[in-house]
This record gives sequence, C-alpha cells and structure tokens, in this order.
Amino acid sequence: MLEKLQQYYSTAKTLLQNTANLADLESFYREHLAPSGKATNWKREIGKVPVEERRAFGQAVNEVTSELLAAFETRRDLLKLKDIAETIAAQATDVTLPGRPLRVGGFHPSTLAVREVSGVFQRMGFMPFESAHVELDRNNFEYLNMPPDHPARDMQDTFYFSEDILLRTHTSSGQIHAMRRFAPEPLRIVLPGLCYRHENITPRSEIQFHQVEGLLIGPNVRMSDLKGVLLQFARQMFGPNQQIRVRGSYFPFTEPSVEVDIRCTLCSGEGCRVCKHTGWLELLGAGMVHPAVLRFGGYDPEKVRGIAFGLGIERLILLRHGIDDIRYIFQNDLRFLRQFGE
Amino acid sequence: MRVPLSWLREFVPIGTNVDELVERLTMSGIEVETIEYIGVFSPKVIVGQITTCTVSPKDPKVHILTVSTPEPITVVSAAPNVAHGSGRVAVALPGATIIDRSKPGFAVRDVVLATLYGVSSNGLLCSDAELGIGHDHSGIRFFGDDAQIGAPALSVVPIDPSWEADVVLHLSILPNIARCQSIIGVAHEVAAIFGLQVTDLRDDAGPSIQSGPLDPILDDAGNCRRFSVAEVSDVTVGPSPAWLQRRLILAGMQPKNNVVDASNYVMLEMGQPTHTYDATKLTNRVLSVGPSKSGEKLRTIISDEQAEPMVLPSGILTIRSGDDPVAIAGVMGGKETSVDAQTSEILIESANFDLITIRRSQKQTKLFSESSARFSRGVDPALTDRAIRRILAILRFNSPLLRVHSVGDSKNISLDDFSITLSVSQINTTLGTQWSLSEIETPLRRAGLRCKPGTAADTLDVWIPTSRGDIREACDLIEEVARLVGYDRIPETMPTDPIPQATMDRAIRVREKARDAMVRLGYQEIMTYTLSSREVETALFAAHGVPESWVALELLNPVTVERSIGRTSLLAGLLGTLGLNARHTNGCHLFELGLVIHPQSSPSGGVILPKEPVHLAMVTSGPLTAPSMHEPEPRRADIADVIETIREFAHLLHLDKIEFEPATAPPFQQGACGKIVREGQTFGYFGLIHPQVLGRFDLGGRMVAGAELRLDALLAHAKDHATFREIPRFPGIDIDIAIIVPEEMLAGTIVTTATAAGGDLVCGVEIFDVYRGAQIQAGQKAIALRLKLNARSRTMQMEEAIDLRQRVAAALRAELNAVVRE
Ligand SMILES: [Zn+2]
Repeated sequence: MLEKLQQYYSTAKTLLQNTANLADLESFYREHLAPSGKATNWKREIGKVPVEERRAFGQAVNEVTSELLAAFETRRDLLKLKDIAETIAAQATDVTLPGRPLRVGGFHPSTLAVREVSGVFQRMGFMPFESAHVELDRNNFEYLNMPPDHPARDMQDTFYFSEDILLRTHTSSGQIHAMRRFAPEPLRIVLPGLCYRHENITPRSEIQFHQVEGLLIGPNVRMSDLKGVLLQFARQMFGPNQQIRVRGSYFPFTEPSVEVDIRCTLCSGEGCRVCKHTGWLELLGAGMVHPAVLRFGGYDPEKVRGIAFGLGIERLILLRHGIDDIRYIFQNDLRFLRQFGE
Repeated sequence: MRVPLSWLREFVPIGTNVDELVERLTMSGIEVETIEYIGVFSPKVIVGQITTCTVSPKDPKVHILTVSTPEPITVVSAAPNVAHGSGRVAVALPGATIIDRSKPGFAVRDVVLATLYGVSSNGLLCSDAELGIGHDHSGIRFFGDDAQIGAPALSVVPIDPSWEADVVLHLSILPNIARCQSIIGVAHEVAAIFGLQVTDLRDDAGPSIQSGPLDPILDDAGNCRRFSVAEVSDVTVGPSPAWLQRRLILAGMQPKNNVVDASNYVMLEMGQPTHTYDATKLTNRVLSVGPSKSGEKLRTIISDEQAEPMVLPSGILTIRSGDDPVAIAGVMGGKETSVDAQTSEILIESANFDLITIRRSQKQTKLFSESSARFSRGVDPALTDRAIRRILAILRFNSPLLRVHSVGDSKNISLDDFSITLSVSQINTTLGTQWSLSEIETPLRRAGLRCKPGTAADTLDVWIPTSRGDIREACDLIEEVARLVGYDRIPETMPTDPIPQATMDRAIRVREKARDAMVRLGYQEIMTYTLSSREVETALFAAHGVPESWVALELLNPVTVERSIGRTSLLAGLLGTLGLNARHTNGCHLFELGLVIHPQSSPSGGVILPKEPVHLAMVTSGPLTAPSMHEPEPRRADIADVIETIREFAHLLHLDKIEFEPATAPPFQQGACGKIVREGQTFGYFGLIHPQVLGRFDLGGRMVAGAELRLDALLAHAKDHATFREIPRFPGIDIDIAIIVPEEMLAGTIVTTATAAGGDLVCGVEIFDVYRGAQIQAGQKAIALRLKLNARSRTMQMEEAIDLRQRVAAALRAELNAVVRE
C-alpha cells in the first residue's frame, strides 16, 4: 500500500511539474487536490490497511498530500510569473507609432484672452458686468460726453440701425448702465464684450472685436490708483518685471486721458519692428472718468472720482502669438483655432 | 498736420535732436505718426568712398562706380565731376528722400533701386542741391578725407537754417489738440514741454482790422462767432516766392498763386482759415452770413467748369453777397467770385464758426477742406484780424503797392480770458501726488496760462485765453498739469476704497459654465460675426419656407451686404463655418455661444431696441475622431450624438426635467427633429440638418446633426449645485422585458409608462434594443427594456423583481397596448 502511495506521489509530482500553464494547473488541482481528488482519496484508504500499519500509513498519506500541496503552490507562483511575462511580451509596443486619436474640444482664442484679462481684474475685486450690444446713441455717445456732431465721434465709425439705435462702438456704453444701477454706491467693475466699428475688413481692421474695460468709482479714487492697477495687470499678464509707460492722450469720457504702454514683449525694450523701434507697445487707453460722465451716471463729481481703462482683446492675441492678420480671428478656420489648444 | 522743423524753428528755438522732440511730444499726448527726413537729414544719405570708376560703354558721359559704404555698392552717375574724383561722396541709398532737381520749383523724390544704362544702381551720388544744403547742382558733393565712411552725411556738414533740406513731422490731431493744426500752435506746445520761449509773429505795419463800413452781418443763430474783412486793391496775381512755395509743399499743399498761397500759408502758420474773393465779382461787398435757402446752387472752387453747380443742402451756413451764396461757410468758396489771373481788387474773409455747424456742413455737402478740417475742430476766435494783417504782409512780397481801402470786424462773443480756480489739494487728491504750488504753476505758465494766487490759501486762479478752447473746467487744467509735469511723476498705488459688496451676475457665471461644458463634451468653440445677411439667415428656411414672422434688424449703413443685418440665429454661422472647414477637415464638431438679435415691434412703427437673447448652437458632422492606423474609419457623427450631447450638457449644468419630443422645425429634416422641453416650455430644437439647407452652405451630400438652444432662458432653470443621491449599498437586480409596439410608439412614452408602473424600486429604465424585421409584423417594432431595480436599504429579492416585472408588463399592455413577449 505504502509502495502504491509512493508511486502515486511520484506520478502526481511529475504531472505537476509538467503543467504548462495556469489552466493545466487548475485541472491538476481538480484531479488531485480538490475534496474528491486523488490525493484526498488516499485518506479513505487509511481504514483499509491493517491496524498496526495504520498509524504509519496515515502519516505517510498526510505527508504526501501536504507535499503535493506545497509543490502545487510553488508551481502556481512560477506559472503566474510566466503568465505575466507572456502577457508583457505580447503587449510589447513600438512607442514611436502614432497613438489613438482623441476628440478634444477647445475654446476660441478670444474667449481665452477675455477670460485671462478679465480674470486678472476680477482677482483685484473688479466684478464682471455686461450690457446690450445694440444701444441707444445716448448711452454709447451722449452720456459719455460725446453729443451729436462732437469731434470725437470721428474716432469711431458706427453701424446704425436707425438715427438713434446703433451697434455699440465700445463697452463703455455699459459704464452708463452700471453707474445708473449702482450710483451713489462705489463701483468696481470689469466690462468684457464685443464691440463694433464701421470699417472694411482688412488684415489690420475688423468690424467687430472684444474689449475689456474696467471702471472704478469711489470717494478716494486717484490717478495713481490707475497706474497701480495697470502696473499690476501688466505684471500679471506679461511677467513680474514688466514696466508701464503712461503718456497723454484723448478720450472724451476721461480727463486726464492717457495711453498706457508696456515694454515690448518681443525685444524687451531693445527696439524691433513690432514696436516700431520704440521699445514700447501700446497696451490700452485709460483715464479719470470725466465729471460730466459721472454726472450722467448719477454720481456727484464733488463726492466721488473714477478711473477707467479699456483694452482690445484681439490686438493682444495678435501681439502675443505673432499673428499678422486679424481676419483669422473670426474666420474660424479649425487649423487656426486648434493651435490654441486650451 | 505736417510740421517742417525749419518752419517751427522760426517760432521756437528747438534743438537738433529730432528723436527727443518726438519722444517728448508723444509723452505729452501729441502723436507723431511719421517723420519725413528730406535731403541731408535722411539717415539713408551717408558718406561713401569711391573705389573704382569706369566709363559706361553706352554713354561716355556716364560713369559706373563702386562705392564703399563700407559695403561696396554699385552706383551709376552722370555727374561731370565724378571722373576726377576718387574721394568721399554723399550717397543716397534706396529709401532716402532727396530734393528733385528735374522739376521746376521745389519737389522731393524717393531714391529707389534703378537700372540705369543697363546697370543696376544701388544708390545715388548727390549734389549740394539734391542734398538741400546749397544751390550747386553742377556736380556731386565731395567731402574731406576726415569724413567717416558709412556715417550719416548730416554728421559731416554743419547745420544751417537756410537749407532746403528739412525734417517734417506728421502729427495726428486728436480733438483736444485742435490748436496744433498750425505751426505756431505746435510751437507753443513745444515751448510748454521744453520750457522755451515762443517768438511771436511781429505785427507788421498796416491798418488795424476793426469795425468799419464793411462789417459783415452775422447770422441770427450765432453760428458765425466773428467775421473780419479787408478790401484791398492793387494786388498783382502771380506765383509766390520760392521759399513760400517750398513751405507749402513740405506742409502738404500745392502752390497756386500768391493770393491763394498767402491764405493757405497763414492758415498753416496761425491756424486761421481765410478766403479771398475777387471784390469786383461780388454784388455787395458787405457780406452776410446765413442759412442756405431751398434749391440754392453754388459752383465751388474745386468743381470743373462744365459740371452742374451743386445744389446746396437747405439750411447750411453760407456766406452771402447780396442775395447770392458766395461760399459754404468755413468749408469752401464759390468759383464765380474767386480770384483769377486778372484780379487786382480782393476782399479777404477771416471768420470764426461754431465747430458743430461746420461738422454738419461737411457731413451734408460731403465736402472736406483744410479749412473745414480746422473749423470742425475749433479755431481761436482771437485770430481773425491778425490773420488778415499777416496775409497783407505776405502779399506785399509780390504787391508792394497794395492798398487797404476798407475793413470790417463783427463779433458776437467775448475775447476775454476767463478764470478757473485750482486748489493744490484738489490736484493732489485727484492725481495721488504731493506736488507743491510752484510745481503746479510752472507748467501752466509755460503753457501760456496766466496764474495768480487765489483768494483761498493754496489755490491758484488760472486765466484761460481763447486759444485754449479745450480747457473749460478744473479737470481740464488738472490734465494740463499732469501731462506737462509728466505722468511718470505720478506714483503707482492700489485703490484704498473697500471692494464693493455687489456679487457677480449669475447669468454670466452660468453662461461661462455652459461654454466649459461644451468644450468638455468635445466641441470646438467658434465665434462668428454678429452681423449677417438676409441671404444667409434665411437659407435655414430653404426647405420650410421663410415664415412670415421672421424679421431681422437691418443696418442703415452696412459696409457690405454680407454684414447688413443682425443675425437671428447661430446655426447659419455654424453651417457657414462648417462649409468653409469641410474643404480641408472632415470631422467638425463645433459650437457657438452668443447673442442673436430679435427685433421687437414698436407701436409707432419705428425701430426700437431689439431683444438680444443668448443662444447656444452646435453642429457635428463627419468622423468623431481622426482616422488612424488604429481605426481607419471612425464612426461618423449622427443625431444620436447630438441627443446625448444635450442630455450630458443638461447634466453638467444641473438642469433637471429636460425632455425630448418629436418636432417639425427648420432647418431640420422631417422625422429627424426634436424639441427640448422642460415643464411644457420649449427651449430649442435639434436634429439632422435638411439636405436642401446643407446645399445652401456648400455641404451637399454630408450628414450634419445640430441643435440651437435658447440658452439664457434655459439656464434660468439651472441649479447652482448638484443634488446628491445616495449610492445604493445593496445589490440590485436588472430584469428585462421585451415588447412589441406599433412603429409610432415613442421610446419616451414607454420609459415613462414603465417607470411610473414600477414605483420606487425602479431606479432606471433603459432601452437596449430596437428591432424591426422578419419575426415582427410590418409597422411594428420590438423593443427590449431593462428595468434596473434596487431596494436601496436591503438586497433586492428575485421574487420581488419578478413581481415587479409583471406589474410593469401589465401596465405596458394595458396603457400602451403593447404585446409582451414572455
Ligand atoms: Zn520691440
């Protein structure tokens, strides 16, 4: 009997060593080690051997079973590793091959730039405010200190729907709406949006463009705050070492009126073609809100002062990306739009 | 405004550093558009060294030279003294402007690359005359050997005010610096900036121009503020002196005859436009100002002899002699009364008009002149008499015997200065500065404003002359101080007022979330024009017919017909963009978020402000991803993609209760169109774009699915936050039901019925198969439903699930007449 057991053990062990994969191993387990398997069955034989041999035989059966189980486990670990190795070998890839195309959405570059610019001002406490694109003449011009036939109207060619209804030429029309809504309370708003000019569409001019304007009204507002806010803006947008240059200009709705330049981002102020060799780039127009405009907005210019600024978003995009034709912006060629990848 | 620096120097002692002058003008708010360098001033006129000189085989008088600049260039020259020379010369390189000696009188020309006598000449050797530093044109200029090769020629010759060479600044005139539309005006500005003294014009001897027999009759409305005249005889009409012609040309005007030139010269110099009549052609030498009468005609000085005289717009301001209009006030004179070669007796008009009146005249007559350019921005009324005296002084160059017979000067305004009181603290609190009284006073004095200490301490009374029409109130003076002291002297501070309480408009915030959602859903944002055309907008109705209710807001003054109305939808722009991109990009998945313009009808019939609802529209067409080795033919977008996009969009924006219903609406095709409904309200349509519409957008043969939503209306229902629902902790059971229903039966109805019948235990009903075919009767379809059951607080039992399935089956049978397949 013991001899037969020894024979079984060596046969089973050979079978186990011959299993080639985890599936073979599983069937081996079922045949030999499972509750009704051959190794287990030997336990039933224990009762059949003579009493005096029973103890020794029983011990032998147990040894065989536990040794087979141990051998099974060793084999299983080995085959598992082998299996992983095979999987890995099968999954070897030429990583220089193209990947699987994805479908990714994207924002229009003007959206990105409007968000970036108005985001900088929002972090300085300027709240976004929007108003209508189709406007009354008085909100776009008159209340901004440009009565009919005022010379400053020459600066802005306008699309008219009727004698007194037009497409706004700047987001400044929203200043009036905001002032009238909040006066006499202090105001700190940013006005992003599309504006329109009656022009021919050329590489350098468009009939629509985005503006982001800022307006700050309060009892202690100063011209120096305008410089501080705009310096902060220039540094957030163009780098911590940016400088601004403020020079005189004219807008009917501000007094004083200034243009604000930044150091040319291409040549860092050395002078290049883009900055016309001045080292400076025009960034935006700004000034202190004209008392007449404050009055139209419902404020008392004796009690509050205001600062305002406005910049053209598309000009900024062209500058930043070195694009020389503004028509790309609203042509929406996907080969253009996809380059902004955000 | 063109400012020749030689002319400017006559009034203010500016230095020779042009760059510094330009920089300081720019900083103070006077924009220099371009700088014209003429003759020796041109940086492209440099010193060269002749290294070789050969005679042209084509003409023995012509030489072909190599000139070291120090780069060797080839130059062709016909100058007779070239042959002897091997020295240093003035070379004008291409791009330089030199004085043109091939024409009579003063003219300039640009040097260009040219092929001369068969040789390409890279420059031009200049004579003194061409350089504008002398009159010698017999040969080219030679410099001494100490002249550095390659240096600007200007560095080798001492600057002389008698030169014809010059630098001309082109200034851009913003409305607030109307005073800089004259040389003297610019001189005052330069003086204020640099702290220099202006040399004023000497008032030449002659009669003073004052009230007299010729006093013009001013208009009742007061649009003519002042009108001075002088009647002059013994004038000889002929060409102006050369120096005067040169200045006119440099300033951009063409010389005509001494009388017209004198008028133009004084306008350029002082800023006062004038007009000269042939006195003998006037029916009445006492002029009057008044509105034109209906149907009146005038032949202007620029109209040609044969043309019909222009019919004057009724009511524009005219200058009149007797009953006839003889000039459009401030804009243009009439031909019939103008000076000609035989004229010897003239009447000089020097008037001042209200700028708004002149602007209206310009607009109505579409006539623009140097005169109206000045009047339409505002001219100092103190100048009228002085301008006449200056004209007389200039005319005496040609007509030394001229005699002034009679004068006149009418005015309806005061020429007195008025005062504004400024306080130091007001300036400093406004600007955020700490400037002293003297720091403030100095620039004002330099700007020609008289200052006196005010009655209160630390105040200043500033007297504003009529020449500063731009200064009306304290804020204007504060600007004057700030720009002259320099904006760079204002510190940078951050606002000290607290940030106002107002919160961000919810509509803006949610709308931007909608834009984010569309990008997350894989769509590319586009931005098209708010202005569109009737043709494009109505193309959406190509299959359905334009509804009678369709209206658009139309521009009075479009630039092109393509951009002549406010867009009424976003889909037209999207399809147009798709059409453009389809030429090179197969798969396009685009969206636009923006306003459309919907006119509102006004009770009176006029145009009133339209509604500007914000819409969201999308189109999807072609492969969903780019074809590749992994998937050579990716799945193409269809209506189901749009359906799921809208559903997921609604989810991302926390919009509940969104349902879809079949619909018929342009521009979608019959049977593949739905509407987006929430609690009975329609918020938009989606579907496959009708092939006839696609044809109008160059998209024939493609499948395009799309949608347009009334976004702002829809987003009013969006919740700010998601509503949390407990995640089931116990296993549920999925159980299927197969039914047969008529073809018309909507999936939505089946799902609603099943959900209602199932009650609380049903947490979802999914349609996972729709089958039509062999085993099913025609006109019927088999639908497989999966009920997702979960008891939430405990494990779902199979018996319960089977019961529920039966309950749902019974409801489908009873309510929908469905055949349930067991
Ligand atoms: Zn640069």
